[in-house]
Amino acid sequence: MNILGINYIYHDSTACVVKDGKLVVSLEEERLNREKHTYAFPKQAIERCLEIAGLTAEEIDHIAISFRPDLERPRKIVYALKLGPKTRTFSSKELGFALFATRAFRLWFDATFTKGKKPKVHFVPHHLSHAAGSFFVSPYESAALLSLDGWGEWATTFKGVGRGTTVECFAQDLFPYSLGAVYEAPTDFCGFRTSYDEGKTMGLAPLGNPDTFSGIVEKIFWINEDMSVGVDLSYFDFQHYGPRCSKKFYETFGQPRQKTWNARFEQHHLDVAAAFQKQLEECVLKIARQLHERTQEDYLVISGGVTLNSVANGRLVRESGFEDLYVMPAAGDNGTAIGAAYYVYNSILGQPRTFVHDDPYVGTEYANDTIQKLLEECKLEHHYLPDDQLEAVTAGLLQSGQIVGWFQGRMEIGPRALGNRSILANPTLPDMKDRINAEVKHREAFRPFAPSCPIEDTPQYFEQHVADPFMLKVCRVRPERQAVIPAVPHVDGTARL
Amino acid sequence: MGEPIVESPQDAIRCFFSTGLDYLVLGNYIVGKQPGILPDAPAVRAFATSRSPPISIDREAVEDPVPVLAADNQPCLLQDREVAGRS
Repeated sequence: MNILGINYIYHDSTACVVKDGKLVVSLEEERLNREKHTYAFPKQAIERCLEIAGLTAEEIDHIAISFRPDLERPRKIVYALKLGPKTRTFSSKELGFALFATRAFRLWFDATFTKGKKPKVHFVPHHLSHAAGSFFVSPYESAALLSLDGWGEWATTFKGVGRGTTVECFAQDLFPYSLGAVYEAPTDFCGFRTSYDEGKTMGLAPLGNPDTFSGIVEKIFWINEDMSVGVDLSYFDFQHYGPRCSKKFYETFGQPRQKTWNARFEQHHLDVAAAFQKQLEECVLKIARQLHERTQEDYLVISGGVTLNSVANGRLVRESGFEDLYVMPAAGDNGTAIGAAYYVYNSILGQPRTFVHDDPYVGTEYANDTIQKLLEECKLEHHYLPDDQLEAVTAGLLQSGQIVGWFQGRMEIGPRALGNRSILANPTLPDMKDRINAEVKHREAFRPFAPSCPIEDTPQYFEQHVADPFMLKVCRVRPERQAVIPAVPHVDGTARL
Repeated sequence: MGEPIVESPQDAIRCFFSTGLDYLVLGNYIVGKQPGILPDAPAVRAFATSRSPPISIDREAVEDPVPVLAADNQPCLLQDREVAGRS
């Protein structure tokens, strides 16, 4: 049985193929159309996925899409009418969005399946794609489930429990009560791109003092005793699909940073990032502790854009009461293509769970012959290194301070380069972080780099007691090791292991 | 700034020449930036093993949760052990 999973609705359009319960390939459209976080319909990704899976379109039995356009429509209408003067902007955007959403898929579907058997199409609610989908590919037989993002059709969270192939939902928060949307405000305030650059806000936070504004921010968003999200909406305008921050936000915190990459960071920008990051961590922890108490499960499965906040995830591992957590390598919307496909496979079709998504290398790969041909076409001087020398030679180059582009095997899925399409450098050289940020990545100097470490050596360097293959659980570098690997620790002594 | 992760060897080559990367390893092929400076493999390999800090990993120390430095107080690189195992 072949299932094609598709996410294209919000951002990070992605396709995947699940063949008899096994994830054989998954590709993000951005890698192919070279537009980061693209929301284009993943036409190229679908074509390449089918090619890699060795399938024709006719051989697809089911299509799983990670949102349901008609979900919560009455609620949206009531909400829109209540907005008063802002009803029009909201309705036109919401309506335009729904039209775009259905049309892009229909166009592709009609062009692809012209005759013969057509696959069955399933529109899976967005947060079920996140939460249930992640659970079905997690290594746990049962676990507490938590998904947190900006917003899906209307829901912003999913809190529940998964056992076997059944998933129970305790509660969901609804727009505009959203941790993800709230965290976009400091992102915007610090001059970054909202919905994409929240990771930069997280990286900026340790440079600021959270206490400057924590008293105020605690009253801007919080978690109630029943696990629901509380937000003081007067600080925001996203609830009308307007700008992220309201006038009151600027009156309270000051002038925002200019939206150019080299604009100066004032102290209050850093402090706002720090206060929102701290409060986000507290909120996520509070929900997780309540979930732990209610479910008494040992493990937690998290998903959704907010769970790309690896600093908060690190605290979940250490402080929530759960023994460990599972998070997909593509925990954001890209992973919902996989989530929706597995929701269809395990829940709708009732197939047993047989697959664990612990391998992020599910993308394209290129043979040595292809590479050699290309290098010759480009007239590039190149040397062949046999397998037994490849790593030794690269290690030697790194040792001498060279920066190496490393392209091996199948491409990784998710927002982080995880070692198959990565930039490698020697972490023991003190100027390495600044060199890569300036010479290679052309990015803000404060942003940290991730160390890669064999799992058996992890305890020697890091205060991490669980495996973290997807760079999504931040931990501390052992204080006595910080000077040994100066390019690795962030200003607060943590590492994106 | 703001490019997606490279997908194909073409992307990798484009990235290589538009940034300060010194070497590019594509599968089993290695490319340097300036013609002529690409070291032949055995020489680099010799370099990798000779110039590294001594690879005196004490097996017992590895099991020990308290980290230790190599005998001459030089940090051991993670890759060194692999290099040592192979040569």
